[in-house]
Order: sequence, then structure tokens, then C-alpha cells
Amino acid sequence: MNYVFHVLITINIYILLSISLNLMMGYTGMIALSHAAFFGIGAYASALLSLHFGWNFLLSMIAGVVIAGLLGVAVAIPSLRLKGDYFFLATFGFQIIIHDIFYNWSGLTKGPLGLAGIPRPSLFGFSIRSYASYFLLSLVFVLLCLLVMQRLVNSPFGRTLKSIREDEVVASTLGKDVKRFKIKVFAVSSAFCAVAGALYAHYVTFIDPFSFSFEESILILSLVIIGGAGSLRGPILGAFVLISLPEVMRYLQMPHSFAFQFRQMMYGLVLIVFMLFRPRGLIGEYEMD
Amino acid sequence: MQLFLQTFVNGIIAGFIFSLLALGFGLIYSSTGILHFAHGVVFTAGAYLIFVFAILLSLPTLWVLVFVVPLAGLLGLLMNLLVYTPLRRRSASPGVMLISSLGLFIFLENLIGLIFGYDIRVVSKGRVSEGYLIGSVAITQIQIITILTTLACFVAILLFLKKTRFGKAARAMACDNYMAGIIGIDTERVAHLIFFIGSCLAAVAAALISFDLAIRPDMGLLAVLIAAVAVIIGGVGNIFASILGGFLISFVQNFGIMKISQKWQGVITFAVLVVFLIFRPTGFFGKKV
Repeated sequence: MNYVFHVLITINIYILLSISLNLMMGYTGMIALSHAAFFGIGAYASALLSLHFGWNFLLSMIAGVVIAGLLGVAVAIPSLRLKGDYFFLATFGFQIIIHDIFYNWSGLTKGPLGLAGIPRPSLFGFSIRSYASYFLLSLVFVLLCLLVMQRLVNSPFGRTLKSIREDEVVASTLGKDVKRFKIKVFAVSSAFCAVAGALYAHYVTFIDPFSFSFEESILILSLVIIGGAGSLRGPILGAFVLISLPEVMRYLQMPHSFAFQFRQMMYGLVLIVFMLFRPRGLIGEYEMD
Repeated sequence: MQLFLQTFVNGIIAGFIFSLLALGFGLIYSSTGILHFAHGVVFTAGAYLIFVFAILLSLPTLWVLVFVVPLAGLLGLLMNLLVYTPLRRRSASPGVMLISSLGLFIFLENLIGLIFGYDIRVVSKGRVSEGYLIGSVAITQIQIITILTTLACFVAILLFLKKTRFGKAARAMACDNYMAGIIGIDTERVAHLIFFIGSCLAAVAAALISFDLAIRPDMGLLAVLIAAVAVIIGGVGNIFASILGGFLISFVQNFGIMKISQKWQGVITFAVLVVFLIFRPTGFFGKKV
């Protein structure tokens, strides 16, 4: 049973990440590859604050979210001077830089050794230790974030984002400040990643740079693509499918390193096959074309 | 002074290899408009093909190149044929191209990792050549071969672009792909050829690197990022400016090592990109981004 909860907690964390990327990619049409970096920023910020200053879970998560959001703005402003491919490249660069900082700034992050002993959260006097209770905690955050996201995309704000996705020029002739909208989306999306990061860090209690690499960003991209961009249910389904599928493969008794590469190949194949044959994903509304 | 001169020479030699990568990437990008991330994995595949032919089959170096360079070219052509051409036929957006290119990258990189393992492999056969001392600066035989080969490639590409029908067609496509189609250029055929030639250049770069350094399955990522950054800071649309971009990155990296530890190389590369994106997003000689 603990195993089932473990898989469900993982799925919850990836649902947060995929709806976050979906807000950028599916609703606003900005393809970015920096989500693992913001995931990591949330995780490291929250972990470091709890470890060094003894902050409690909620406080350090909020701090992580604020830091990630502000960093999102700082990255968005210069990179949004660029369009399409160049914007993508800038976010890719940010991903590499952040990963290198996690890896090399040993004084702060302990480099490849990682941060160990991150405390499990305790909220209102309850210490959340069992798998079941952590699952409930993550579920609460997922539902909260989904609620926020739903209000966001169905509001006038969300409709403006869709219009930017369809045609930026038209959106700006209607008096929408396209750049300002995009900066906001970048910040919100980064903040969501940080929520996932804090949940992750306090769940596994040990984080290292390898969890926030470029490959992780590709995985998040695959979740959105397989489920379908531009709807809320698409990325949720994507997270369910792509996170539980490798768990099934676990029963095939593959050696560990083999399984890792096999999974990566699967994610790559998902990207190619879906782009070629079903660009709207399994249940998406918006056809990437 | 001696250190300065040696760093300068090292910078030039690495610069030649970087520009070779950038030239292939830039050729593909400017004439087909595809940000061909899988160029990095063509480079990796080239290095591993060299490993297979030179070490496992122990062929002489010249024969290795005769087999490997066209094989890598074929790999690039196949990518275009199987993935990009169908996408172009349905006039997919650059974002869709980009995502499939990432898919190709991650799929093939892990396939190579699966076959050869993640340990480093050595191709250089332990032949430590004495090298030559020019003044106080040491140059090895391989480095001289690197310079001559790369210069030969530059001249060949220059002649191809200026003198041949296909080369002129490629330049026309770089100017305006749609217009090139209207005036009767078979853009698909030219694209195939460009992918072939660009991928051959990646294999040459892979050969020059693998005769000097150890190879790894994940070497393609930094390679393609350097190529992409070089193309942008050189200025897109001016293929030979990307050579300049390659040299600039190489100098910044090599002189950077004098002051900053080598582990920050990825960060340094992207710092160059960020500086350009903020202060001169058109690159040295480019059109407006």
C-alpha cells in the first residue's frame, strides 16, 4: 500500500509540474525548457531554509515560491525580447546554468553530494510521516493549484493568453500588453514549479542536482505533449500515464541503469511520435501546429 | 606571456572545432529554419562510429573517416526524411519541429548510452605525439591536423555555397524559403542535401575531438549548445559569421579557465549568450531577431 501511495505522491508532484508548463506552452504558446530548473529552485530553497534556519514546511515553501516567481520575472524580461526559437534557447540556457550552479556551488548546495536530512513537514502540530498522510498533503496542494489554475485560465486573463497564443499581433492591436502578460505567465508558471519542488524535497528528504537536470525538463515536456496541451485534464492524464508506465516496467526486472535509459528513450519517442501523428495529445484541445 | 600565448593557441584550436559544429548547425538552421537540436546527437553518433571503426574494427584512420563521415551524414538525412519532412508537409510550426528535434536528441543519446554504456571511451589509441615547439608554444600533431582539416572544410563549404547550383539554392532558401519554392527550387531536395552536408561536418568535428579527448554518450548536449550560441552571436543568416561566434566562445572559455574553474564552462558559454541577447540580439552581423 505504501508503494501505491508513493507512486500517487510522485504523480501529484508531476501533475503540478505539467500544469505549470501547460500554462506557458498550451495556453500562451511559449515553449520553454526551464521547468526542471524552477522545480529545483523551489526544492533547494525550501530544503535550505528548513535545514539551516529551521523554518517550517509552509513558510519555506512560500519562500521558495516567491524566490522562484521573482527569478521567473528576472529570466522572463531579457528572454522575452526574443521570439520562438531564441526564447526557447534562452530558457534552455537558464536550465543549464541553474543545474551547473546546483552542481558546482558546493558551499551552498553540497554539489553532487546533495542535501540530506530534509525534515518531513509538520503542520498545525501534526507531523506528516506516513505515506498516506503525505499523499493527502500533496493532494491538497494539487487540488488547490488546480483550482487556482482553473480560475486563471477561465478568467479574462486566460482568454487573453489564448489570444496571444493564436496571434500575438491581433492581441496587441486589441490593446493587450503582450509582453506584460507573458512575464506574468512566466512568473506564475515558475511559482507552481516551486510548489512541486518543495513537496518533492520534503517528501524524499534528500535532493541532489541530478533530479533537476535537462532530462527532467524533457520529461515535463513529454507529460504535457502526451496528455495534450491547452486543457487542464490533458497534463493530468499525461502525468498519470507517463509516471505510472515505468512503474509497470519495474516488474520486468530490468537492471537499474538500463531502465533509466529505456525510460529516457521512451520520453524521446513520445515527443517524436506525438508531434508526427497526434500533435493534440491524447485528450488535448489545442492542436500544436 | 607564455601562458597567454599557449591559451591563445588552445583557444584557436578549440575555436576551429566549435566553428565546424556551428557551421553545420547554422547551415541547417538558416536554410531550413529548423533549430536542429539533434545535431548534437549526430555529433555523438559520429564519435561512437569512429570508436567502432577505429578501435573495434581497428581500421586505419583514413578509412575510418571515409566510412564514418558519410554515415553520419546519412543519419542527418534520415532525420530530415523521417521526421522533419512529414512535419513540413503539414506546415508545422517551428515549435513542433523543435520538440521533435529534442525527442530525436534524447532518444538517440540514450540509445547510444544503452549500447556503449556511460563510461568514457578512448579513441586516440594512446599515441601521444611529441608535438612541436614554436617559440614557447606547444602544438601537437593532432592539433595541426585539426587546423588543416577545418580550414579545408571551410573552403569546401564556401565553394559549395558560392559555386554550385545546390549551394546557390540553399542561400536562396536562407533568404526566403517560400519564395525559393515559388521560383522553382526543389526545396525538399536541397534540404536533404543540407542535412547531409551539415551532419558530415558534425562527424568531422567528432573525429577531431575524439582523436584528442575521451568520448561520452552525453557529449552532444554541450556541443549543440555551443553551436547554437555561436550561430546566434555570430548572427543568424550569415553562415560564416557563426565561425566567428565559435571562436569567440572558445576564447572566452579558454581565457575564462585562467581565472574561473573549468566546471563553470557551461555557465560561461551561456553568459556570453545572455550578454549578446541583452546588448546585441542581432549578433555581430545578423538580421533583426
